[in-house]
Amino acid sequence: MFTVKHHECVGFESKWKVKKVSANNSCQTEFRTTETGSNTSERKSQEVQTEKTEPTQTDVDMEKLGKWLSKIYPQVKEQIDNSNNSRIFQNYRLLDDPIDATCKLVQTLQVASKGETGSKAIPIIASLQWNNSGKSLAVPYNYKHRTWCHHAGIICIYTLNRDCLSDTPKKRLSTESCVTSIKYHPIHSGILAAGTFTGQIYIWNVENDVDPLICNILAHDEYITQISWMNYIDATNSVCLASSSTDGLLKLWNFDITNNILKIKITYKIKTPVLAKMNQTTEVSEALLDKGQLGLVGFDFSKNIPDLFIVALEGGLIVRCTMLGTTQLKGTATETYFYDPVFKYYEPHKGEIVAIKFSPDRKDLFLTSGTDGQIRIYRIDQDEPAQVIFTKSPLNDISYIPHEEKLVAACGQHGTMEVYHLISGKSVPLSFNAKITRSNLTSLAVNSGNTKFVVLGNKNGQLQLWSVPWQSIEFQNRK
Amino acid sequence: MSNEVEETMKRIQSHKGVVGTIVVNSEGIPIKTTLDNTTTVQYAGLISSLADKARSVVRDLDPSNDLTFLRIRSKKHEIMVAPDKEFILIVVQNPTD
Repeated sequence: MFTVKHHECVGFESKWKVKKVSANNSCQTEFRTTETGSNTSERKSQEVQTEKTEPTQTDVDMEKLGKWLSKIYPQVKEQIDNSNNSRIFQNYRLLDDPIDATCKLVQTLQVASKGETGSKAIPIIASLQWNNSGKSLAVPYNYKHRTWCHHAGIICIYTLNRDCLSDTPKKRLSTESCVTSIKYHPIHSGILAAGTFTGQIYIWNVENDVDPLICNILAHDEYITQISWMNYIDATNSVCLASSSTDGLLKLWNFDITNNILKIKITYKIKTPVLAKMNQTTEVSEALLDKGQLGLVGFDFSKNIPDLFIVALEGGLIVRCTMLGTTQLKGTATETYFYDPVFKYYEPHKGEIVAIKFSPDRKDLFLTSGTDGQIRIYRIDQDEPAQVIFTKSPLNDISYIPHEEKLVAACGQHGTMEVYHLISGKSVPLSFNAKITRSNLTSLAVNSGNTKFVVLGNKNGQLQLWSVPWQSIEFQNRK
Repeated sequence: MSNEVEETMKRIQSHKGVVGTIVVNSEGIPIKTTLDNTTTVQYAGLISSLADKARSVVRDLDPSNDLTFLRIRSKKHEIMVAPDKEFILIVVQNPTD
C-alpha cells in the first residue's frame, strides 16, 4: 500500500532583489462646458387705429328744423328763466359733500377815512342795507356826537358784481346832517329812504342819475332812530314809510311814488306806563327821566298779523302795539292828533335795546337785543322772554338769516361776526379763513338775494364782505 | 330758412348762463352746435339715448302721456332737453349762484 517514491530535486532560483520599475504617466481630464439659453417671453403687438369720426352731415330739412326751433323757443326760454330765477337749489348740498364751514373774507373796503370831510373824527358805519334784489348796498357813515351834529351826512351806494363789491361807490348821496337809519323800498329797488340826526326824512331814487333826490321833509323834532317800509292795514295794503324818533313818536307816512310826495298818515305816541314797568336796576340817565317821555329806539311791523307792531323804548322797554282800536290822545294842541296804540308791555331789558325784529318764519315770535348782553326771544302773548341768550359782549346789530330759522347773526364789540343758535341758546363756533383785526363792529346785513354774502361795518369806516356757508354751519351744529 | 335756425340758436345762446346749444336729429347725430366737436358728439350720443329712455319711461307709465321736457341738474351744469319726434334740442347751462 505504501510505496517509496523519489522525486527529482527541484531547485528555485533565489530572488532576493526586486527591481522596481516605474514609469511616469499623466492624465489630464478635459473640462467641457456647454451653454444653452432659453427665453420664453413671447411678444405680440397689435395696433388699432381709431379714426375720429366727424359728425356726418346728414340731410336735414332746415325749414322744418327752423319752424320747430321757433315753436319750441318760448318753452325753452321759460325753462331757462325758471332755472335762472329759481332758488330751489340754493344752499342745496349732497349728503356726502365735504362740509366746509369756513367763513371767507371776500373783500375789505375803506368807505371813509379819518379827516376826509375836514373833521378829525373817525367815521362810523351807521347802517348797512341791501336792496330787494341784493345787487346794491347802501352804506351811510356818521360820526360820534356829543351835542349837535355839524357834519354833512353821506351815503355811499355800492354795487355787488358777481362775487365782490365795486371798489368805489357807484353813487354818493349827501344830506345836511348825519344819517342815522336807511331803508330800501321793498318793491321799487331804486327807492331809498333815510332818516337823519336832525329829524329829516330824505327819499332818493338812486337809479336816477341826474337828480336822485325826490323828497325831503322835516319829520321829527329829534333824531330819527329807525326808518322802515311797511304795509298799511287798509284795503289798498299800500306801502307806507314808518319813522321813529327819540321824541317819542312813531309816524306813518303815505308815499306817493308818482308825484313824489310824502304825507303824514298817522302819528302814534307811545305812552310810558304809569306804574313803572321798567326794570328797577336799569340805569336811566337823569336827563331821560326829566324828559317824561321816553324816546323810541326801534320798532318792527309784523308781516303776518297786519295790525301788530312792536316798539322798543329808551330804558329797555318793549311795547306791543296795535293799529286797530287806537285811542286818540287828548290835549294835543297840534293840528295832527296823536294816537295811543299801546296794547301791553313786555318784561324789559336791563340795558338799552339796539335791535327789535319779528321772526321771518314764525309769526308769534320776535327778538330783541340789548346792551345788557342779552338776546331775548319773546312770544307775542307772553310777557316773559321764551329764551334768553347771553352774549360774549354787548351787540350792536343782529339779523335773522333767511332759510336758517334756528340761527341769528350778530356783531358787536367782540370784533368778529357771531352766530347764535336760538334753540340751544349757545354761541356757534365759527372758523375764519383770514386773520382779522378785531374792531368794534356796528352793523351787519345779510344779502337777501344770495344769503351767503354778509357785510359788516365797523367804527373805523371800514366795510367787510364775507362769504358765509350758512347751511354747513347749521349742519355742523346739528351734529 | 337756415337763417331762422341760426337766429333761434343765437337767441337761446344769449340767455344768461347758457354755455352751449346743440340740435340733434332722431338718430343722435348732431346737426347744429355751438360747442366744440368732441363735446358735441359726446353730449349728442349720451343725451339722445337718455331722452329716448326717459320718453319710454313716461310712455310705459301711461301710454297716453308723452315726455315734453327734461332737465338734468348736476353739480356743474343744468342740461335742458327738449325732445321731439325728429329733433332734440339740448341746452347746457351754468347754474347761477
